[in-house]
Amino acid sequence: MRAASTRFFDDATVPPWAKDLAPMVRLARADTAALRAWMRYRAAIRDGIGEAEAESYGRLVARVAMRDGELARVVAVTIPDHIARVPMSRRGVYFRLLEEVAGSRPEALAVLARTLPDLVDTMDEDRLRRFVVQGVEIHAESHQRAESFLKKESDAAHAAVKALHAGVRLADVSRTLTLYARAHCGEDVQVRAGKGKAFSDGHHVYLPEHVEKFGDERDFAVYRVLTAVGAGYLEFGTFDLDLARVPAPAAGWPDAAEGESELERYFRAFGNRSLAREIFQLLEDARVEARLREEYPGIARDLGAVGPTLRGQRPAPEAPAARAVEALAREAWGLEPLPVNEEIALALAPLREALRRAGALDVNEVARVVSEGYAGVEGLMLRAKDGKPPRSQGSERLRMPGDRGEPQESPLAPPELGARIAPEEAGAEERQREDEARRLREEAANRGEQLSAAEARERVREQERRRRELMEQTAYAQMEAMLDRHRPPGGALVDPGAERDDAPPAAATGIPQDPDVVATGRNFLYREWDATINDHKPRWVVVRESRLREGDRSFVDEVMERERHAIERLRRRFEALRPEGRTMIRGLTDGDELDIDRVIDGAVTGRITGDFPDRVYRRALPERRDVAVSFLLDMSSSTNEATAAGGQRRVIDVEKEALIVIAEALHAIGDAFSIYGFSGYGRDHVAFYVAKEFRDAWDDRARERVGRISFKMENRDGAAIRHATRKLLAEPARTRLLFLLSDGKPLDCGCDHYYDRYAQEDTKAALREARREGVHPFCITVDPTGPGYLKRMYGEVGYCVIDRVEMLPAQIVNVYRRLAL
Amino acid sequence: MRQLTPSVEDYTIHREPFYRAVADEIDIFENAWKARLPVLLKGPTGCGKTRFVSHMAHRLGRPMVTVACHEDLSASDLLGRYLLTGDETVWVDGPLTTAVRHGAIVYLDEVVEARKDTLVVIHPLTDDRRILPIDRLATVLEAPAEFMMVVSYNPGYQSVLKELKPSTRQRFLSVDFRYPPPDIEREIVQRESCLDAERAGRLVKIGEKIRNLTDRGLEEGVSTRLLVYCGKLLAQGVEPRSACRAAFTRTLTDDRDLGRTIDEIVADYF
Repeated sequence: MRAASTRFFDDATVPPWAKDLAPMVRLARADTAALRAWMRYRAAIRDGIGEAEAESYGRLVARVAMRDGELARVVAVTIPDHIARVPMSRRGVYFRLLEEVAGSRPEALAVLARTLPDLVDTMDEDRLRRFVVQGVEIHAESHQRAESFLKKESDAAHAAVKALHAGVRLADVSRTLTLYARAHCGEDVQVRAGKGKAFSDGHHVYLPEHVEKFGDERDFAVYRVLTAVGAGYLEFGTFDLDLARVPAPAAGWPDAAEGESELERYFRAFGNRSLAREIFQLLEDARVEARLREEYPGIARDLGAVGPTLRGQRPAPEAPAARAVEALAREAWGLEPLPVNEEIALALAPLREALRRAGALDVNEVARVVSEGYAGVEGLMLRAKDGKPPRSQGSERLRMPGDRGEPQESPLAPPELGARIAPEEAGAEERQREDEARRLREEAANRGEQLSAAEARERVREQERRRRELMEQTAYAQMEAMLDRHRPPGGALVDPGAERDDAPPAAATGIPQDPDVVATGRNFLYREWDATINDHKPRWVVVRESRLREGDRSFVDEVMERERHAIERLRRRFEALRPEGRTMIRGLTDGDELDIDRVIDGAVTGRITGDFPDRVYRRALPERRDVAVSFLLDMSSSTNEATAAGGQRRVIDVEKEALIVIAEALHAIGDAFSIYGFSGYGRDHVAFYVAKEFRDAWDDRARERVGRISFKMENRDGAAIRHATRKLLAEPARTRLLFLLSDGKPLDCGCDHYYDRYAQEDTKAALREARREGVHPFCITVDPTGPGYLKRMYGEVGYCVIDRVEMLPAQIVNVYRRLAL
Repeated sequence: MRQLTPSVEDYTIHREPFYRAVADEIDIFENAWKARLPVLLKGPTGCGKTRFVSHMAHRLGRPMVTVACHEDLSASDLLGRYLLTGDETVWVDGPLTTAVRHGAIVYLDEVVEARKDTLVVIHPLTDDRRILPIDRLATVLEAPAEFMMVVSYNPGYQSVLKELKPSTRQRFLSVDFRYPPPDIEREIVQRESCLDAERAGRLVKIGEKIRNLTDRGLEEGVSTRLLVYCGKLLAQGVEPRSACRAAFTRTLTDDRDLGRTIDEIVADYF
């Protein structure tokens, strides 16, 4: 019955209005107001979004109307706004879930319709459904709790999301695995996402994003084994292949191309590179695994537990060469052997023999064995084609720089999951390192010295470390000099500055809701300095404060990993900034020394009263630091531009990276700090984003909020500075620091004229006001293209221009030393 | 006015502390003592610096006075101070004064932790004058031939800014301490914790791997002392993974990811 009616409506001959007939009739019966709303928006959705969406919308409203006419009206009015926020590909899921809930618990529909757009892209449909079911159940008890659950704000929501993802996600363990890999090979490797594959490019270890093979702790064991093997290639020298120590073929080894690794050069020497590469991979894996088993009994255990499953079901190919490689693979992986005929057995003999003693070989010996054994297997392939040149010779080529995109046909069915040696995946930076290492070795050879591949690589890494440190030191010196020119501010406390009131709601300004913020918080009114009338305009600007949403940790994790040396050094620098002054504490019962004045007084008192006072010691206490720091980030769209230093790094990323480095260091030494951002559009809408308040812990969630910082619209610096100042003044501390990180171009072309001189003068006035109220502002401009007015704008309070993230921490430490002590 | 000096017996080492030499450190120390030169020991935490000094004190038959330095350490903490007893004022010698009076070996542990203005009181003792002026007593003590000054510091985690002043540093002969090579370290762990060679060897390997994380996540690698602690737990029959968690994971870090990494390294061996 139902199927028949569906066919009827899907028929192309039916006029469009007929599809609307059923919901229209239902709505008309239930609630005429809902019907009117539906009629108003239906066409808008069809024209603005799509026919399918309009149809789903009608179905949903009609369905709700059968249960509750009033609710149907609400749904009819609000859905059009929400649907616009749902990504195109997920709109089907959105309506499906809403319809399901409309059937089971319509009263939760309003909350769900509002929160689902932000959720819908974070999970697959099945998980999302289960999550929504939990949220709807909570709704029966409390709709506030359901809302915070569905916004993923509550702890219950975090736990639920975790529980929904069975298996292990790389994002959750990548840091542990990175450290694990480093412990094994003693190099600065990183574990990175490998788009579903596990491999190593000789510098880093790439792993699949998700492992769900067993559904228990063995999933982590899979990651562990893959990491151990990936790091094992580095630990046991796979990438230290040295062709000078491998007997060359008749034609000699091919000349090294620029940026080419030794392994790539080696594979290039073979007619059938895929074949050579597979055989090399098998033997090298056997070697690395044997070494791992010998070195780490625990890995031997894990390999036994998960190893065979990793390889998956194996085929039994008939073609002689493929059968030979498969037989070799099964032997290497310790699986059920594949029977082979005499011819294949003969061809495989030298390789099999090497396989059995793989643990005792080194990579150069493996390369030699593979060169020798390759001919036998290639012979099988050639004979199978009746002496005709094999088709694969031309097409089966390894992907090399310069000939990307050619088909790559492997003679071996790939294992379901297994680490691979993939020198071709190395990035440009890594390739430069290869070249540099090769150059070092050539130089050494010219001097008549021996330098192994491993030593050369280590030297290159060492050089990089030194260069980085040197750069940082230079930055410190430059900053020191720059600061000498700017004295710390002083001045009396006058003029409280900020007024505060309730402003009209954001909706009235027509600004769409920002997906990066949790909820719009309070609004504040501030005055603004108008240079043309030389006076303040009172109650002129509305600052709307909202909290950034938690998001992805990957940005922060990556920065923390990459910049960990900088973070560590900065932390030490901060720690070293201990005040050298001392305060003398008197009148103690125990202390460093006797306080002579008190002893004399005491002696006199004692003689008179017979009671000798014992509070006669004094002690010098070192002074402590008592400081609160706020960071105020410019999030205007101009920060989306690349920094003038070149490269693709955007100003906003440099700001964020520097901020993370500093926040980690400040967190380590325990000083109070807060992180804000600002943007906006027009004087009615200066958006003030809170990533971390003073009272918030610097935890993963705070880090995620910083990760959410992104460029928005305009920047009205003056109002943001006034608001940050106000917040800073509420913080009990002896010293208050405000760092403004911007691109130095205050600009807000909303509905009035906040640019050029007007904007600069207001910014300057806001900074001056802040200083008068006892806040030390300091402006850091990320872009050195900043024009000459910077000095006029920031000159009174001290500023600097930087172009590299490395310089910023140095700057901040120095400001700290001058101001915070 | 009375003066109190703690008794020499308090500082005498009666039983020989075990020490396994790694390089020429014993020879250097002995000859420095004979030549009346002060010595600076550099090295990470728990690699045997303190043990070495007490071993040498016993070997040379001298009492040993140890001062653990910290940032609140003041000159009077080292030299001594007046105390009041009833209505009488008594001078009590500080550890440095005590050591000079007894001709002891004085050991300032983690010397950079002390503030620079405190450290200058050791300067006259560490050049050829070998004297200790105490202005509150209005005296100058002359150090006897047996007196020796030894200081230690850990260059690993102190910052560039917290290094010893060159004027302090250049008064010492320096001996570098590192974690001992694997064979010797195994021997030490075995001997100190009464553990079998096989398990002691595994502990040393775990130590090696964890030390690979120094500056790559960990501030400082695992010390020989911690390996010995863990060995002692193992020797008493504690389950290896929980022993290692107590000795390594929880001690070395509060970072959960890093802690898990250390657990995984332990699982590589036990």
